[in-house]
Amino acid sequence: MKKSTAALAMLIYLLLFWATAFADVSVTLKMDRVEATLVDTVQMQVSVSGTRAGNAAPVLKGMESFQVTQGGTSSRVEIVNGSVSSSVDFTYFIQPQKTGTFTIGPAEIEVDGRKLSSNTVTLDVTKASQSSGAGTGTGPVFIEASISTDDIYVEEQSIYTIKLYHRVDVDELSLKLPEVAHVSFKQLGQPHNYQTVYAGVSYAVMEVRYALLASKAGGFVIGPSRMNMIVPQAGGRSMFNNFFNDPFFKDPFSSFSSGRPLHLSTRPIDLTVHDLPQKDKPADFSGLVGDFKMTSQLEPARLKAGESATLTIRVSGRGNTTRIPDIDFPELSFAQVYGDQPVLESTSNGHGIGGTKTMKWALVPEKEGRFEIPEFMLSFFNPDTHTYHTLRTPRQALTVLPGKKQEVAVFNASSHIGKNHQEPLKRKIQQIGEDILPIHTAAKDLSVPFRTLASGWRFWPTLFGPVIVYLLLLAGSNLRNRSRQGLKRSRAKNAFRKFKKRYQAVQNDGAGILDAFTAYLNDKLNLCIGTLTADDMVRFLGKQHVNGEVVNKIRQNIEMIESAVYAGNDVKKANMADDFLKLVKALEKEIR
Amino acid sequence: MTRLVRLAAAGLLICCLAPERLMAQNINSGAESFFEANQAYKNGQFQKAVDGYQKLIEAGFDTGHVYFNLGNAYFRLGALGKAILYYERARLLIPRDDDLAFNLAHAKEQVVDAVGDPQSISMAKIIGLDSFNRYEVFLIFTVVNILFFSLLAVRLYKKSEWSYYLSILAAIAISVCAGALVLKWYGAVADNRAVILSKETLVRAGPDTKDIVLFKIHEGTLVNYEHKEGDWVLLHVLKDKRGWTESNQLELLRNEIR
Repeated sequence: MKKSTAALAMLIYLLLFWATAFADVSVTLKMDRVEATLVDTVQMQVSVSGTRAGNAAPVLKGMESFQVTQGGTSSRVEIVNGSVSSSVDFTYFIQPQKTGTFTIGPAEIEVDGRKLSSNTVTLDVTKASQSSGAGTGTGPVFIEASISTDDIYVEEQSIYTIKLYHRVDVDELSLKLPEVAHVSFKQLGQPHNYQTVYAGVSYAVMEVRYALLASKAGGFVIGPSRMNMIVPQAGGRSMFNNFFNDPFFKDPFSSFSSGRPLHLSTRPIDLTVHDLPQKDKPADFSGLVGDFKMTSQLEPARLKAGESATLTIRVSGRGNTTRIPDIDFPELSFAQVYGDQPVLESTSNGHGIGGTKTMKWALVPEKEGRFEIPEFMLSFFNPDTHTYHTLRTPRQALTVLPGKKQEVAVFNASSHIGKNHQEPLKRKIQQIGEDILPIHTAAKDLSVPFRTLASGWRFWPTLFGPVIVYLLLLAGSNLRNRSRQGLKRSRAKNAFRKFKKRYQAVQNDGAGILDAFTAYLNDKLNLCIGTLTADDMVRFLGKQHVNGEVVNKIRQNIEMIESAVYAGNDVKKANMADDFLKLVKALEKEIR
Repeated sequence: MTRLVRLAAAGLLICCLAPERLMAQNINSGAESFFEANQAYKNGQFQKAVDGYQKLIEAGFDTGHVYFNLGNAYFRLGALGKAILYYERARLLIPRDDDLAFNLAHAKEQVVDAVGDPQSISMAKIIGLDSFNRYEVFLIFTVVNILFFSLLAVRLYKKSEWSYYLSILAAIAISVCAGALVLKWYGAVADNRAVILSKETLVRAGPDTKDIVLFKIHEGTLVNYEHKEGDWVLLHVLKDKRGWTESNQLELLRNEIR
């Protein structure tokens, strides 16, 4: 059992050793504050992660102006989700010997024969003053507010620091920042706690920092910041605290003990904000204020036609990084360009806010040759130098070797931009400025189409013209119909008179009598018959409901006349069965 | 009779065509003034441009584009209320102009008061009639009107089946167009919107400076004009914002529109 336990322990040790020995090793240097006075002691920590072989202490650079005291070493091993990590922390306490701004570090350490260096940090050391900011005075608990510079430009950041000094325990802290129009605050990291000496008395300090930015020029008053807290009363303390006076023995029921609410305010601070100078303002200035640098990288710089190279431009620095513009890539005659979505990584530390904006483009050359990538420019205003600066990337050469034609033809951009790129991304159009669109200047703009038709005296004729024309046409049509009827009536009315006249004109001419009778019937019944037979006559008169006796007599006469005509004999009127004229007169009475 | 009908038709045609010729002659006379005002605007002499455009309007060239240019000139002079007033007047004449829509939206963004257009839910807007000016609506009505009565006239002489069905369709169309025309005309006549012209206007409980101030409205805000009493005007902005203000503080949209 003992053997198996020992073997298992050995195995775990070997696994951990194996895991940590080949892990990435890094060294980090950090301090508990970025500003200190000559009487302060600053805690500094060097962390070596990814190794346990940290027996040798790191070598610290830039410590000439500090008294350094080692505060101990701690190491830890963590296994999270099967991933093993380990680190060694070296703690130091440093006390400044003189005032100024110091760059501390790097810390150097040798791990497995490799020399590793840490980052550097900056520490501002000032003289210990009795009152260096806008506070409420001294006492067991007081608060101070200060501003790194009270004379700034629009969008330049100033550091607004609030420090709570306390010699007694405080609890349930809350802070309310002042509300000032056109001024915004952004917290820089978490509050720091440290010890300091103020007016010869040792205090615990809780420090919180904000980046203060003004969006408009003018004089401002940063009103008081208000901090509320509970100060536990001495009588309310339990015997644990009184007896041991050690945090370890802190009363576990302290949250139930009584306390005195305390409200503290800082003094107001005057702030002057200047507009950015108009002189020498670059045309492409986007409002970027701070201190920035720009780098570009083309990778690879030599490739075959149809392959993809990535151009990366990084703009990084301290200031209002949200104003870093998206750089426009010009069209290239030799390559297709596919832009990636720009990535902005914001950071903040005790010195302010900053960040890095990374813009990437995939270039796919379509023909061989040596080509030049144009330079890119970016302007910003540096408030430290009070001038505008324009950053330029160097012109970079791209050598394109002959490639397979098919590669160019089948190239799909989605497989090329960067590692994470899926397809050519569309970029949201950024609104840079706002203004109205220009005036209209065409001569045709002086007329309103169709207005003349719909206004003035022309309105009513246009509106009612069609109906009037229609009514006129309707009236004309009715009138014409009426006149046709009148003609018919007139013809019928005069039919007998005309027949009589013609009948008297003919003597023994049977054909003449027949013609006269045909004309009579045409006029009377509004017909247009050329030759009338006895049967036709009977049919027409039957329709008019004429007395049958009259019709028969007329029929007899007509047949007689017809037979005389066809036989070539004269018709003697006196020989007719009846007087034909009288018969027609009777007919006239019947038809009427 | 036929001669009479022919004369009536010819008269109608002359009514339609003759004004266009007269207008063409007038345009030549106004083009010079228009050009001068435009030049003044381009040279940054905005007050001179305003005077030029005002003269053109007084001379009868009160077109949507002249109102638009006048709105631009007032905007450049910083007179937001006047700019919105003339943009709105332009919108009644050139409702589909994209430049106008852009500039009007931009100008309205500068207005302090968060009040929408009082006519934002009018019947004309709901049925899309706002996309046409009243002259265009009238033209559409006239075309349908002529078509309808032409079909009826054809049926006087020849009653065919196709002319019957076409007449029914034309009758439906003319009913719709007549309704739209009446709605448009009524909307124009009853448009009581007014624009606040002063930077800040006090709206009181009564038509007297001694009356209590109910609320303040700012330049460029569109209000509804109710009626006038002496030098005072009763207006309302929202349902619960109603009161009196001096008449020189605002101007009705429909004042100048023909």
